[in-house]
Amino acid sequence: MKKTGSQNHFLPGFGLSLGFTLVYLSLLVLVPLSLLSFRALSLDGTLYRDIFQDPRTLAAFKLTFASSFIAAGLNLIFGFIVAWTLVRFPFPGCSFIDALIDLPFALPTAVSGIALTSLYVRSGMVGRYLDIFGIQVAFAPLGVVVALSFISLPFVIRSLQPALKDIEREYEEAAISLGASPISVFFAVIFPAIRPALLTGFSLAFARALGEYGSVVFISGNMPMKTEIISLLIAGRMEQFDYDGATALAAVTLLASFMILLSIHLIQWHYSRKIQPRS
Amino acid sequence: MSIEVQHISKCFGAFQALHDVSLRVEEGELMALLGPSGSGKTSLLRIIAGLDSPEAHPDAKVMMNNENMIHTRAGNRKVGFVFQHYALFRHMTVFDNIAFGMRMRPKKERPSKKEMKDRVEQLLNLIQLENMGNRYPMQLSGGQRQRVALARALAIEPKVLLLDEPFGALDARVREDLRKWLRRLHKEIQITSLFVTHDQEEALELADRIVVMNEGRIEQIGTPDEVFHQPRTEFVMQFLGSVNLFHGRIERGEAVFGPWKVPGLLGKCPEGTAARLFVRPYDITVQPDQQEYEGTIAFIRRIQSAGPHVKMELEPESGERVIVEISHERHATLKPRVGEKVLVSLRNARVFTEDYTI
Repeated sequence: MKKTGSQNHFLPGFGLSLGFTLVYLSLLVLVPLSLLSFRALSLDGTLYRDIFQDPRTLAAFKLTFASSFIAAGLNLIFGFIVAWTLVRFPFPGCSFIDALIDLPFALPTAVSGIALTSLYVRSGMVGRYLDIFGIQVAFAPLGVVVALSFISLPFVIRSLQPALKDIEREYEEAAISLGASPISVFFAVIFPAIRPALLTGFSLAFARALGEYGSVVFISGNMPMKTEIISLLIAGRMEQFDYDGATALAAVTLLASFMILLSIHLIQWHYSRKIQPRS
Repeated sequence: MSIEVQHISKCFGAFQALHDVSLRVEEGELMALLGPSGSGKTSLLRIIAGLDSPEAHPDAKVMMNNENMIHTRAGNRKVGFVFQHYALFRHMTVFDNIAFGMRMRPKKERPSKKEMKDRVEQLLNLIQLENMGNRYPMQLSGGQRQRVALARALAIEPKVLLLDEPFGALDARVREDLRKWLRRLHKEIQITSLFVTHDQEEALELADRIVVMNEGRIEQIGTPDEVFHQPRTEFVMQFLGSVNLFHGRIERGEAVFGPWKVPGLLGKCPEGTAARLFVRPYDITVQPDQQEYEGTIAFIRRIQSAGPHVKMELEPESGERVIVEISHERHATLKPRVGEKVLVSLRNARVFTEDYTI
């Protein structure tokens, strides 16, 4: 393997870089996750039974997955619009807007949580107008969705931008000259071309939202059965030194998100397989 | 269906790509738009297709069968457009690519599944890719992709076919094969076609008539023979084939270019007018330096005999060097050697002055 590597590439160091990759990934990802798995497997089965029988935990699961899914879905739609605008209609100051998109990455999540809360509470700048229509965001499940949308916003946009830039004008012109309406150009030509990027963006946003803790704890109010998320429950058990309970909860969350991400990747593989040449 | 454009101009910012261009393509004709890059040929093609719009002008017209289409949407112009880089839909099979235009028709006009299948298969036959319907574009070679792009354009039963540098992205061998194939195909289906190219050989070989364009203007329209043998402007002369160029002026009714003189201009041109002489390398006669021959004395500086012709570089006693092409047969009888003295005469020289041509 090392031989073929050094034969085909001008730059040496295949062995070294592979070794480094493996060590790096092991230290950061593989070892912690496998420790969690080992520990999770050695736990008493009743701990898991308790998770699925405890209505409070189940409610937290439901809220976490549902609000992450909704947040990722919202970002899919609005992120697409933002990315489309930035790529297709370069306007003065668009690079400034472009830089703004990364802000949710850079901001400490607790800060964004507090900022969002102060905006959306009943007396807040936005919250007071929403209150007129009886819409409550802060200290309600909707607040969780808002916080998760905020922190997962960059993923869809950042994965879409290169894909949109890749679509050459010729594709659209070809479709137009063949008699396609603007709507069919979008659905028949553009959408299939960006579908992999949309799926990637969605799954990244979804994964990021599932693990979010900092911003949600401020805006949600953490009411049992109503606005509690899984990360909060895990943190709570840790605080009470219930390491086994925390591990079990984490393992179930990990398994569930793994299954969801796996199925998204399977969908992606199904589509991308077709346009790659069989070599 | 005939195509006629009148008074078409196009600007991109400060750059004027087309200056008031008018042109007519007759029904069933295969016409080439030939010119260097930036000459406006692609802009003109895109305006005919409706992919770009010309500058507003009261008499600007894009006519198809004598009907002005300038405000008609690209999709309703019944035009098949073939792009230089194919622009095939990557995520669709060859079959779906070809069927795309039929599927996009309004429901009432859309052919049935069976009709669609028959039509696509017929087109696959035409482009000689019978069993490739379920392949994806990525699995095809460049030449095959361009043929699929052509079939896709033909599937909407266009009245005219527009091709933008159709062979530009292909290598030389494939390009030649495809050229022959397109010529045969055009004979078979007789569709009015206009193609853009910067390759003069391609234009001369394929087209019924050639439009030579330069800097957004039409230099000459004519059959390949006309533009090649009777170029109307210096640009056409230089663009079509290699050429020797000499600078000189009119003296006593003769155009004088160093050792070369072209008579017969008495009274036609004022004295002292600047003139340029063009002569093709194969329009120069080379004779041995013997009494029975006439000509200007020159020395052979270089001989290159590899290729379809023998190329020689000659240096007259005074004046610029000349490139000469002779046949291998002539080369065998003449037996020229580097440094040898020969007699040179021009057969088919063309003189261009500011406003006069012979």
